Amino acid sequence: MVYIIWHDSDYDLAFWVYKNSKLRNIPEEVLLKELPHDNTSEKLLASLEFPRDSIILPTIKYEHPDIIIQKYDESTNKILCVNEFMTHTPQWQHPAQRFSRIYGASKLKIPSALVVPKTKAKLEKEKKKKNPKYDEKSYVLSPVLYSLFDKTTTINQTPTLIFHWPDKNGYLKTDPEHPTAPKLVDDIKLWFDFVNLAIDDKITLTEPTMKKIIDRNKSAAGLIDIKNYKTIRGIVKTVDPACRVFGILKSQLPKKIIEREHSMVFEPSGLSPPTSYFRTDPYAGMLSAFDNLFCSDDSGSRKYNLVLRAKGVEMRRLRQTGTFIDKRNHDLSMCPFTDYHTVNKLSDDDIKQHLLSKNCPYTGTKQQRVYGEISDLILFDDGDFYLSD
Amino acid sequence: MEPSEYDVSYAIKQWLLSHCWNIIAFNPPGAQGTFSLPNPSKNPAYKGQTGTQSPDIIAIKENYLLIVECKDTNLAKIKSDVKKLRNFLINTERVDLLKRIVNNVCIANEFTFDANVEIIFAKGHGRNKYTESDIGTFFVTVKNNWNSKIIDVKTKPLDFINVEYIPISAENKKILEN
Repeated sequence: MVYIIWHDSDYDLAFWVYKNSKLRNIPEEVLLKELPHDNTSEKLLASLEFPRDSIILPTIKYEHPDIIIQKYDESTNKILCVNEFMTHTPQWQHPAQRFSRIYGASKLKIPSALVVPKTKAKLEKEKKKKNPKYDEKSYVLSPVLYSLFDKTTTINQTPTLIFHWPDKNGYLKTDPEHPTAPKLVDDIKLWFDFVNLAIDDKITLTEPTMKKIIDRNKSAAGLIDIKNYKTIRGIVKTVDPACRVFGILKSQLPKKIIEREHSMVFEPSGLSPPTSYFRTDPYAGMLSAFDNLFCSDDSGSRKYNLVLRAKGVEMRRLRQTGTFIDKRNHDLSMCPFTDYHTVNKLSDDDIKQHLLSKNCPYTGTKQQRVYGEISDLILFDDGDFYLSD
Repeated sequence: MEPSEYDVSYAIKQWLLSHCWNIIAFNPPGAQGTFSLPNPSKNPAYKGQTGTQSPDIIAIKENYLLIVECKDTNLAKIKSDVKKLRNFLINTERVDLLKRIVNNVCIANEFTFDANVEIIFAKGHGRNKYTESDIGTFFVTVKNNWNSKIIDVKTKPLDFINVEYIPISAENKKILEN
């Protein structure tokens, strides 16, 4: 048997996980392995070892989390937990930016955790003053994030948890030997309880430590009002009086979209700043957060279509630059990114062939993987549109 | 075989720990940043991060604060780091901000910090044993069988990565190594 701690190139952080978890005391082999740098077929085929590593593909279909723990032997190939760390100021948009990593894992029923500062201080220049000085400003974790993780736990019936990075007056406590990791006090002890339970495959919603964190998230959750989000145009009727859907003929759209009476339109204004065309951060994470918060019911079924209005972006240009690849004939039932059930039934050759087929959206850019495949429909400025699989 | 920028940063961090330095910030490529220094000349009305700096390593020991910039082997980029380090002390407002932040990070992490600390610099990289008269150099090499993409936890990276510190003076050597 082998355990693999996958990391996003920070092997010192992976060593910290190993040293402080129960993996340190087990006789089995433990490897620290770097995740592929991106999802291109070339990178995946160059860095993954089959059949052992194939299980990672569904876990990274949208984005790459910081730490993934996998258990592998001849009879078991399982992802045990997915973890994301952030040290940024924790107001809504920063943790939301990372949510597609947690969203994808939790949907696959993998216990998932975000380690995030509850409070972080930052020195900021005073505004509108002649000789501005630097003042310390404290940012606190948005209550909306607790709501988001609580709803995600409910939807997926899988612990999807927030742990607080320890701090003193908003300055982060870090591990003295592994400074990209938090200090092993307070919530980080609980986080290791979570990791150790995951290693033992004993995580359930009712397990006492999990329940404690789930209840804490629930009690910290804030009330959510969709009207507070400037990036959301609103919830609108899917089919207009002219029997079209956002100007598109009904015959061009799948039944599932037309059948949903209402659609939520996400319309951020900053998708095409001068520095990048079809920007992803923070909106890709927000899109996945808005799916769980507003578009899906407690069972995870979409009650509203999730529509991204890509203002200032033309599909023509995305095709020219390769930002979106042509996914015609992509077979989701043979796609190793779909879920664990699908990847486990595919042979190594099936997987390699699929990766080389050049029409899999999950080997494309983050724009196509997250915007394209999490939303139901993207509407572009040139009148073109994109449908998820 | 050449070290990556991460290998260089990691190896220097380990070297500093073994020479009794406390690490205040560690920002290797691909990792979460510990903290960043704001740019005092930035227009406060602009919301972006223009000119914000995140030195790769900040460490303290006794009355010294060490800033290290790390690169892999790219000489042009290493020279650009040297320029960045030389310019650092010119901006006194930024130095004050650094001390303010480091003081608070030290309080949070229970390290001692003296406001009259002396700031010193070093660069770290591989391939060229290129030195400067005013900035110390960490020279990092890796063995041919080092593979950071997959590590068996029983192996120690420093069995494969070597760090040599090239001081600028005997006093500098004493400060860094004692």
